[in-house]
Amino acid sequence: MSDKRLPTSVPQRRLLAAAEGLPASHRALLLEVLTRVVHPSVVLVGIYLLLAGLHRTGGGFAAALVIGLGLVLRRLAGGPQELGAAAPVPPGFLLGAGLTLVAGYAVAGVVLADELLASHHWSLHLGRLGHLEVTTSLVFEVGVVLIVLGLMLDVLRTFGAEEDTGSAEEASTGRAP
Amino acid sequence: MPLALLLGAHGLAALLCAALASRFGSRVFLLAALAPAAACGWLLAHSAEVLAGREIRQDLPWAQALDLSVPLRLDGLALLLGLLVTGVGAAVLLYSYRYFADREGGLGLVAGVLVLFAGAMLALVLADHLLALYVAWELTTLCSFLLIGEDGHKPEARRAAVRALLVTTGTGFVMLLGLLLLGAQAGTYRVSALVEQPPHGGLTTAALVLVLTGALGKSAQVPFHPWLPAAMVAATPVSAYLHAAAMVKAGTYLVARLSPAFAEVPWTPIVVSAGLATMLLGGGRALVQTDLKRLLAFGTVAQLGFLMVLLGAGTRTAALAGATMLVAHALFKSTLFLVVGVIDREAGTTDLRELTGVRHRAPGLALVAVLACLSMAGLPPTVGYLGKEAALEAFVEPAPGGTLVLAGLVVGFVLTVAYTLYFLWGAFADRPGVTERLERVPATSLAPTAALALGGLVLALAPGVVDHLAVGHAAAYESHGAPYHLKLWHGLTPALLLSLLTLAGGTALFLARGHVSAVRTYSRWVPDALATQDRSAEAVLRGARLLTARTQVGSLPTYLVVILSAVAVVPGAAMLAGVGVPTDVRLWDRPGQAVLAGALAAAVGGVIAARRRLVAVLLVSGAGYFVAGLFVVHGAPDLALAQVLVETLTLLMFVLVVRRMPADAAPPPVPLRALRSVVALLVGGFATLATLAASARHRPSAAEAGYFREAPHAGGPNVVNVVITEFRALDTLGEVTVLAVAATGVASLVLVSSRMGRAPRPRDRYTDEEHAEASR
Repeated sequence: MSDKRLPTSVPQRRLLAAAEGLPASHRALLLEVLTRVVHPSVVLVGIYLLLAGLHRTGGGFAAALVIGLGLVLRRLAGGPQELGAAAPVPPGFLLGAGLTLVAGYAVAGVVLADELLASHHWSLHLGRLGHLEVTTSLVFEVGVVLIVLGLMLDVLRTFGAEEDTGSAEEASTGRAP
Repeated sequence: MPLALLLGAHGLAALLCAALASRFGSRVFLLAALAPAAACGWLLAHSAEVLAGREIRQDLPWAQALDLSVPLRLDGLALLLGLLVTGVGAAVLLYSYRYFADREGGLGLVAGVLVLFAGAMLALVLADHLLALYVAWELTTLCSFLLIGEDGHKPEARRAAVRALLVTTGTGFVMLLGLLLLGAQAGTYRVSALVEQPPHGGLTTAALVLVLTGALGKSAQVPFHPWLPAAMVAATPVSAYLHAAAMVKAGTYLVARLSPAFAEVPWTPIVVSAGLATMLLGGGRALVQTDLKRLLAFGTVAQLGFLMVLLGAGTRTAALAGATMLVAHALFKSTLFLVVGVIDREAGTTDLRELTGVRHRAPGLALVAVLACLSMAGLPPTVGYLGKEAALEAFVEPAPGGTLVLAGLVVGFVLTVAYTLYFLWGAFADRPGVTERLERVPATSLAPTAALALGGLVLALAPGVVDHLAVGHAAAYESHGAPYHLKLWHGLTPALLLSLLTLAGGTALFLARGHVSAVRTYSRWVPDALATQDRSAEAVLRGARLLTARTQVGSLPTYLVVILSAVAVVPGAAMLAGVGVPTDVRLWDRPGQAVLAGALAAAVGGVIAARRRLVAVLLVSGAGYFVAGLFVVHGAPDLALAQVLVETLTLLMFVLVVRRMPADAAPPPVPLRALRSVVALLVGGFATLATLAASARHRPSAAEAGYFREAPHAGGPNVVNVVITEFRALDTLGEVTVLAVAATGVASLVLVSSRMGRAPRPRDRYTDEEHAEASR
């Protein structure tokens, strides 16, 4: 039984899936390890900032920047393909979704409360668990996060475009080598 | 609701056509015809009521808070035009069913835009508001552009479409200025109120001249006329409807609408002289064309000039003649266009030199054409005849311009008779040595054509009907003496004698047309409107290119210098003048601030001294982090957090870019360096001044207290974020929108390939070539 399980104990996933595609001269072990270890926490911190924004330091803009910086880290450690693995969505989609959310929130206020960008918040007492405040403007904040993320992804992709091996052919048609 | 419903039906039909064209092919035109046909039926059913003097009005409320609505009004003139627009529209759309039967794609566009145009045109004549009228006016222009250019594959069609668009929107814009001025002078934008109590004075005169420019441009009057013959590259139903029956009538409609109020200097002289000049020029040009469609187009130009003269003259009889001619022209000219369309479709050419035997192969078509030509030449018993007699009578009576205009009209009629004969000869004469191309004419093409031609005949046999319709407009003028009415026989009047004279003259001119061409070769000194338009368009483009070359030099430092000096000088000067230099300056509150500021200054100094790019970038970021530190000391953790994050992001982006550039930055030449230093000092001075001025205010603002009071109730105690998401959420909405637009713009400019594509994803194995590629 244990003999058969042995081969599967070799790690199936590498630290960063795409880093293997980079030439050895472009890799840095320390950065790869650090990125692998830190990135999930970075995303968590971003989500915390988003949720905590109305009470403590934070907010949608800061949250998006933190999550985006996590993506930058992945991009630096593993190249453009690692960025693709970390954020497989086209930036245009994020921008569009964010704008839709933000504008939809604004219009929903008109429909539901007859006021542009109207918001509502609930205070819930959860007994032992404590006290929870939920605000509809969180939807607005999520929209802001998506837009800022889309912007950062756009910039990252733009600056990394020349090394973008996936679309190198398309890029070379419109530009002098 | 009915008037608005009529317009809505057209919009709905347009959408349906666009959606269903791929499935049903040219049968969508039958569906399309329903909208104008229904509108025509409705108008007919209510015509008695309107002609009895009871206008139908309806207000479409729009933005009531701004007191904006779209008033619609159906009066005599609107009824006349509305019947034409919808009646001819229905006939042309029915005809299109056959005309476009073999067309592969693009039918949705043609059918949809044609119906949309019919709706826009109907809105134009129904609108009782100057601005609503303008919107409909430009909507028709847009439809015309789309229909001329069609799919944009033919360069000739593109050129013609752009020419028509430039001339009609250009003059239309001038008209908009005039309409705004007129509305401001009158204090109302309601056309009916404006006509009842017209304003007077210098500004009104200027407004009228501007409005006339638009009307003359739209109706292809001298000197704007060349766009109309050029637009003949469009499909024949489009030419028949837009460029003969409906759209080009918009200018004459506006003149007819406003003439009762403004028929005096300078309105009448401008309209009448431009109209006469156009009538003579169009008639003369028509005689030397070899393409039947262009011949008809110049004929249309001439007839539009004629209509201008009649509708702008400002007397009752002239208005009556004008209204009659509106009907007559719409009927006979669209008939003739459709006849040419049949010839074009079945014989494959509209060049009269290549046509022969058409009348033997298609006697029905020839008969229809002759019927329409009778009306065009003004022979009884047609509506054209009624209109021509009335027109001559109008200027035999005392009228502005009197004999001079009458003489011009007579010459114009001579030309009209001549080019009518020329058209018939061109389309139907036998030419030995030319092969016959036309096989037969399908009834589906002929029926709508014949219906329009017969309409001209039947209406004339009952002149009372046309008279009733036309009087609906002419009643806006007072009549001196016994009012003139349309009749087939008025007795042996001077008008009849003049009419006979024009017939004889026209026939003679047709027979001697060879000499006319000879005369034309001597008229080279006349400035060519087409070339002038081309030259002015080119001059604009040249000027734009020159301006671009001078301002867009392509050097990033130059742009920065310009932008930063503007930022420093303009608001800086305003601030110096308004606020002055704050005198009460404390250097620091806490020692920590002094330490941070010192470090900041050192970092900035380092940036100036650094030669290596990477070092400079790191020092700039360092300066940013010190600023964040200052925020912390000031007690603004949110600001500090954002600053640190943005600074980090900027640094990383910089690194991504800088590593591809040479390591060392070459110092710029000394004069440039001096200039940049001056600009840098100016910007620094401005920023310092702004910071000092902003922090010198110690009184909390009125809003501030409210923010702090309300924030806990609106979500949470962090007032900074509550401001962003609640109190000033609209600002945030605007900002993130700008952000999204900027990101899209930058990425679209830089990335050649589509940025909506998938990002490259990692794979399991990489080849050596990919390793090599990635390392490049």
